[in-house]
Amino acid sequence: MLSFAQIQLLRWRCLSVSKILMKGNEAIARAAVAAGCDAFFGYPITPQNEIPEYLSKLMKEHGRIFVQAESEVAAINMVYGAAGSGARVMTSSSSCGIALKQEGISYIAGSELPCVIVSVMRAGPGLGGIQPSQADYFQATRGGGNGDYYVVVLAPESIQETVDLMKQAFEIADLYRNPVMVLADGLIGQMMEAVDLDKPVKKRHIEPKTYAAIGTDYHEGRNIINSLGLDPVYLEQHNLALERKYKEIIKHEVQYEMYNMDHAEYIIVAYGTVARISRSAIDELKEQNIHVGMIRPITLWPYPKKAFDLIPKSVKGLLVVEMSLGQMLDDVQIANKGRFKIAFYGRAGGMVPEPEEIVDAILHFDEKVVD
Amino acid sequence: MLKNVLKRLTIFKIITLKDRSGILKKGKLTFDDEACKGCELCVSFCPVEILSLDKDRINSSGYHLISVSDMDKCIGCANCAIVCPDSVIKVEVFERE
Amino acid sequence: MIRYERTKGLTDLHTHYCPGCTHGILHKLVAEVLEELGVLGKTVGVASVGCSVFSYDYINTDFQQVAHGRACAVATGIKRVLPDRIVFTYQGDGDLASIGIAETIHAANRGENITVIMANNATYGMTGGQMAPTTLIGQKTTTSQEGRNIKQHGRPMKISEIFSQIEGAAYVERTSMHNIAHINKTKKAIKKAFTYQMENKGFTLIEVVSTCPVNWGMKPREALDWSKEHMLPIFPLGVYKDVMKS
Repeated sequence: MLSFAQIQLLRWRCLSVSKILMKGNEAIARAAVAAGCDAFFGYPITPQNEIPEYLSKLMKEHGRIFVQAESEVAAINMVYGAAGSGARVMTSSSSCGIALKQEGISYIAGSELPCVIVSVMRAGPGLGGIQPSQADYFQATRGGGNGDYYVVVLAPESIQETVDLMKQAFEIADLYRNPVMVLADGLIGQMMEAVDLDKPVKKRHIEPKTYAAIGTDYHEGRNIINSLGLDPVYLEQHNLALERKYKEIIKHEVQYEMYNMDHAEYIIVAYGTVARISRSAIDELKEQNIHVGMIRPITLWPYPKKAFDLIPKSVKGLLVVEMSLGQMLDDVQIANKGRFKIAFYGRAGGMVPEPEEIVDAILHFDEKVVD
Repeated sequence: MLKNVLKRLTIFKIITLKDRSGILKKGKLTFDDEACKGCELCVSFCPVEILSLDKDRINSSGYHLISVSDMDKCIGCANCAIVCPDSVIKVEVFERE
Repeated sequence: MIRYERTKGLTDLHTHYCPGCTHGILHKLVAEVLEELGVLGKTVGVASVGCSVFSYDYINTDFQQVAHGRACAVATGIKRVLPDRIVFTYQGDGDLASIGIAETIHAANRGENITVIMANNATYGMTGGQMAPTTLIGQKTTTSQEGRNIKQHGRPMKISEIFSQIEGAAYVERTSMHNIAHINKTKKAIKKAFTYQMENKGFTLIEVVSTCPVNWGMKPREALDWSKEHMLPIFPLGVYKDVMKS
């Protein structure tokens, strides 16, 4: 039985923080509105259908723009048009739909326009399945579109973090004039957690969008949104300018979390919901007196390579856990620089690992080591 | 044969055509030679046949230019300017003496 | 008095188009119409991919250059964000009728208040003269070297006819540029299309029968005559949809 004091404390806590129990997809939609998204262009695909569904109502209520496009291809091109017109704009899709957007994303990056792309990963390849997956890490970070460009990729592990990263995404996109992807998976899209939608996020100093093609009456000269550069001398300079921008992003935008690193014998490297599951595995291992820490990248691009320089030399190895057959694994191997043994545990096809499987992988670490 | 007859009739009609104020027009053409690509569309649409490609003249892009054989015959119809894909020709009209 | 001079709707740049290419004439007509309507400063053009990819260098408005076929989707994004601006796309037959057919049909279906200018010269000009959706039966191109045939390639696509069926389309007309009278008619049609946009009547499309002298292997005037003799019977001229007359 709670004491009178405890009951009062509980009451105070409930009243002072306004949290709502909400499905991930709905939270994504509401976060976009809270972040000042002017226009949403999307298309139905499981497991993110609730995003366009909620936005079809919310955007209208807030006097903003919603269009259900005829395809994911059309949607990303509508995003391009709206972004070139100076709007804060977003689209959402899943795996195979994101595949369709790659051309558009390359154009948006090449033309230096801002936008937010939400990807709620499902299993692949091809039509695959609708269960959660992390097998689009390559698609997100290695840019499925053509050319030398990067997309800033933010990977939340909880619905609250999804809301926070959604708001950050619009700021980062506008600041650097680049596409930003919020990479969730079907678990985050579909599960329900308590969310504080009003939690503020750091606002960046963003210059007015004087580059927007809104009509010559409204600015000096003529504005042309363009990624074409037939003269290689010009195009190389343009690419180098993009490179300078990406270097700035790498310098300033890396985010990661290091968890339970004290006395760690092994380090798990995981992101998104797999990091959540890994926390449970870490707790179980603690009961067996095995100390395991975790590096949880929050930005998948730029990848938090520096975090790996902070790993104590006493660590026996790194276990990479993904809902894929090893995609972030490549980035861990690069960041590791050959210092520690790396093992891998993955599930595919929409299967979600249980904490016990991760515990087991640590206990049989040496069997899981990769070359 | 019939085509030729019709063509001459059209030219005759245009040359003797008076505008609404009853005054015959005379045209004056100015060419932006650097813009010309020598495509000869203007030549083919001129009803009084005063334009031709001049192989003795060339612009800095290497295209031959258009010469006017007799500006006096120009009726200021602006066919040449209307068809020109490169807006080479400026047409001014005056009253014909 | 000046009867005709270069419009302020065009920039000063000399175009890269081949001598006698009808793109030059069509750009001029669009530019003149926008100048005469007094909307140059409020217009955003959408440049597609084809020979006319550089239309953004020639027509004197703000522009967005976009991926092959996607112009109408981009135009939708622009018009939804900036509903008081004039938005137009300039597309060839390959861009609009092939890779872009879905985006174009759906923009029309949604009744987007944009104007689409389509130059139909029955070929992919920029890439060297390949067969396009509007290539004529028997027409030899680099990818139909024995001539287009129905069994292998299907028939030429009739864009104006297709769009006349779409209720969101407010004005659809097919015109030609094979002589002065038809060039003037094309300008009138373009002006009507932009006027309908200014009056928020819906999607407008002007399909302009054009030529490609170099890839057709003809001199410019020869190409215009060929377009009249061979294309007009397949692509009849006329108004296919006028929401004010139905």
